[in-house]
Formats: sequence, structure tokens, C-alpha cells
Amino acid sequence: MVKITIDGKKISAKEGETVLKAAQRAGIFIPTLCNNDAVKPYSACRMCLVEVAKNGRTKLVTSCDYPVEEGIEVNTNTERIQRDRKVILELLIARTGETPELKKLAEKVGVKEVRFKVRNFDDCILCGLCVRVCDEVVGAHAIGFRGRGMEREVVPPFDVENEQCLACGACAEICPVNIIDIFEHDGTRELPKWHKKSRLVACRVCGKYFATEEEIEMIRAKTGLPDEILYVCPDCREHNFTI
Amino acid sequence: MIKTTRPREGFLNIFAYQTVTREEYFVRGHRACQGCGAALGLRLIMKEAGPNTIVVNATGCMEIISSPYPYTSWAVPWIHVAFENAAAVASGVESAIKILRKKGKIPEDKEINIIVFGGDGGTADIGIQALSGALIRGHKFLYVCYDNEAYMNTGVQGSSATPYGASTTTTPAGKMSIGQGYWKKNLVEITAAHRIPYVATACPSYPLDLMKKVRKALDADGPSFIHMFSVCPTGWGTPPELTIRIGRLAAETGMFPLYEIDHGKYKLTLDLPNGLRPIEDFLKVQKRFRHLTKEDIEVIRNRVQEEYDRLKKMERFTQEE
Repeated sequence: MVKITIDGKKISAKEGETVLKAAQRAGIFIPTLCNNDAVKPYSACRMCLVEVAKNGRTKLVTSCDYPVEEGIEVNTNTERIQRDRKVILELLIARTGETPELKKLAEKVGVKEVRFKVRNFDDCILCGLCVRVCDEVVGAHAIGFRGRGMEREVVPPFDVENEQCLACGACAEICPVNIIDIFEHDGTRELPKWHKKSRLVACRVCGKYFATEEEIEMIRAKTGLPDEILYVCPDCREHNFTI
Repeated sequence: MIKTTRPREGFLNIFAYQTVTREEYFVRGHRACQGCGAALGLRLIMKEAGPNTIVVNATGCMEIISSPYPYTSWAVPWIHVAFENAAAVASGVESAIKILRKKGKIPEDKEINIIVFGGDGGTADIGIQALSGALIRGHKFLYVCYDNEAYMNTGVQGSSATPYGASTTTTPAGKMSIGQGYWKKNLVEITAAHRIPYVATACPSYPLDLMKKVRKALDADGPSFIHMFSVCPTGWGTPPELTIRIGRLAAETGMFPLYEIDHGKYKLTLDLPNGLRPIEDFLKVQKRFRHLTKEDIEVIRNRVQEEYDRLKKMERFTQEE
């Protein structure tokens, strides 16, 4: 156990834990956009800035990837942090326009007006959660970043439909600003952002669509199960079918 | 062609579940029966609500199993109250927080969620007037009714949320009786009639859908209500390993349709392109419905279809406006 102070509150954190985790467990609010337990910290959104005082010096760090150390003093809401957070959020809003999620966060952080010209040329905030969940959780590596600076964007390779994408929808699920659409109609699942169209597999017993063809292939490659199990939806599987 | 944005459930999304937080606020070691649907739902709801939550728990299964003296399963502040006044106590908690905010003892920007857990007996029978009062006063809290369709912790006595034809110890099936003789009370319509911002039905068999609804309810600008279908293997006479599947069957057969009413707008959250599943799939796995004859099932089917059609009509009517 490591003893740290957050906002004047003495907290014992686990060794190797990040400051963000320790604060969240103690019920101290730190705004985040690009953080999720399922993937490694990436510190892209910079919303979780905190001030860490160590050996008489203070510095601004991102709390999502800063490990706790014995005796550090953390402040989550000083004037300096508030000022920096506001600028970062205003820049994000200038980039994406006022999406509902950012608006909600702006209220919390205290952004009253955006001092930059709102250009709204892309809805993506480039947090990289979809890219990371595709790499680390799904393991498909179907999307990635392209370009630099203002032209940076998330695309599948060459911005065309690719075979690696399972159309599983984990990216749509994890997106903090809800901009990855996923549609299901007439037995196909469509992810327009990745130009992906995938056929859905209907259950052999009840006829309900329950997975995409790519997902079934992936499970077959990993487990080697026969078709009688793979093409039957989890609800229709008999007792002896469950693995 | 029906286009639905982000169909979070209804398909086998193997990876999205892994993005759910690993933190637990309703921790292991409680004494729920094997295969308890309500305990699972509680865990998921608490994951979404997070640490800044005050739980008000009416007497019922979840209170019994989570707090056997001297242990507790709650990693958040928790208060146990009587059957009838859970919503009233939640109003008090909310008012106290308001006053403490005014006095500066709680920071203005600190978000505190108040969640009430009540069983179907504590909500539909005993606690309904306290709930109605709290909703009409507009206190900001989330009321979760975990509905296992009878008084389970005292030994399966029928409540007004018990479905038609179910056999319980107070409504036993026999030569002269079909079991429960009247229809399930429609709690969602009752609470929605108070014109509160958010009312929904949910089921822990669809975890992401449940968590999404909890998030919406906590973000609502007033009281909110979630009616959670909780499979009870002990009371219903179902195999404990089939809890998840029975929850899905209930949603797919239309016995417990999943929908939400967001500021008066109905929305069915589970797409059933092929229509409802045959109702026998749901009834035949349960001991409490074992005595039903074909004619009885026909009666139930007609009623379920009628309700579902009505929901579809309401959805079309309110979404078009």
C-alpha cells in the first residue's frame, strides 16, 4: 500500500495503480474521455490533468498513466488545472462542434463560451479508443490513425473495406462521443465509417440473426467447434452443447 | 427497412462486454441463490453508477442477501428501510444533500447518485403510494424495481406483479384455480403517468442495454424508474444455469418487452424482425406455469400480443410527433 494525498484527502492506494484509479475509488471526480479499463492508458484527451507535488516541486501530469508514489500530493482542481482543462476542451469543441457529450463535459468543467472559432470539420476527438480496443481487446487491428496535425483521422487501411474487420461493433460501443454508427437491416450489419458491410448469420433453430460471418469464422479458428454449435444462437443451444 | 442506430443488444457482441469497468461496488460473498437474476442486475447497475452513490434498499431479497449481520456486500453508503417507505427515504436523502450543498458541506459540483432498490412487492404492492408521492414531488433519484414476480424471500407469495396463471403459495394451481387469476400490474405505465423524464424496462440478460438505461436514468433531470426483470430460479422452479436464457426468452416472447419512455417518447430497445417468439418457449421451462392447458396459454398469448402491438403503436405515435 502506498500513502498519497489527493485534494487534501489521505488515501492508501495499491502499488502500481494510477492516480486516476486511486482518485476514482475515493470518489474524487476527474474528467476523462479516452480512459477505459479494458485498454492501456494512452493519455490522448488530456482532460485528466492533475497537479502532482513531489520534493517541493509541482508539475502537471495526466493522471490516467501516472503511477502512485509514496508521499506525493495530488491536486485535481486548482486554478492552473481548471484553466488548462478549459483551453483543451474549448479546442476540442472548436474541432468537433458542440456534440452532446462534450457539452455535458463542458458544463462540468466550467466552459461557458468557446473562445476559438468553431470549425466543426470532424466529429472525432482522436482519443484512439476505437483503435486501441480493436488492437488490444478484439485483436483485429482493422483501423488505425492516418495523417498528422489537422488531417489526422481514424480510418481502415487505405480507407477501404478490409477483411480483418469483424464488424463486431466494439468500436461503436466504446466511442466516448458516439459517432461510430452501426446499422442492422435485412440481414446485414453496416459500419459506414469503416465502409464495412457484413452478412449476419441466422440461427439454424430459431432464425434470429445473432453474429456476423467474420465473428463465426474467428471463433471457429480459435476453438475448432463444429457447425452444429457455431451456427446455433446461445439461446437455442441445448445443455450438452454449452462448452 | 428499419434502421436502428447502435443496436447494443440482440446479437452476440463478444468484445463490447470487455469494455465494461472492472470495479465492483456490489461485491461478492453475498448470499443470493444460485442463478439469481436480481443480484446480477444489481452488480451491473452499481458498476454503471460508480462510487458516488447512496443506495436506499427496501426490505426484500436483495436486502436479505447483501447484509447478513455483521457482513455487507455494499462498497457504497447503504441504508435499509421498511417495505413501504423506500421512496420516501430517498426523497429525504435527496433533500438532505440539497441542504448540505447549500450550506457548503458538499461541493456544488460533486455528483451524487441516489438509487433505490425495491422488489416487486415493495414497489407494486406496499410501497406504491410512497413511490407515487416521491415521483410527483420530483426528487432526483433512480428507483429500480427488481421484479421477480412474487414475494420470494418469504416463500413465494403472490404479489400484484405476479403474471396471470402463475402458481405461487398464496395462489396455488389446482382443480378449481389456474393460479394467479389476474394480470400483472403495469408498473411502467403507472410511473410514466407521473410524467417523469425517464422510465424503462430492462433485464440483466442484456447487460449493456441495462447499463445504458441506468446511465440515461441517472443523467435525467428528475426522478427516473427502471423496471428490471429478474429471473428467480428458486421461486419459479427453473434450472439456475438457464437464468440468462430465460431472461432473453421473456424479452423475445413479449412476456416482458424491453422498452423505454424518454420524455414521453416510447422506444422499443430490442428489435424483433421476425416478430414474437412462441410463448411456450418461455412458459414450458418453468414449474410455476406447468399446469397451464393449451387454452390458458392461448389466453396469455393473445394478451401478450395485444400489449406488444399496443407498444409498437405507441412507439410509432410518439416518435412521429
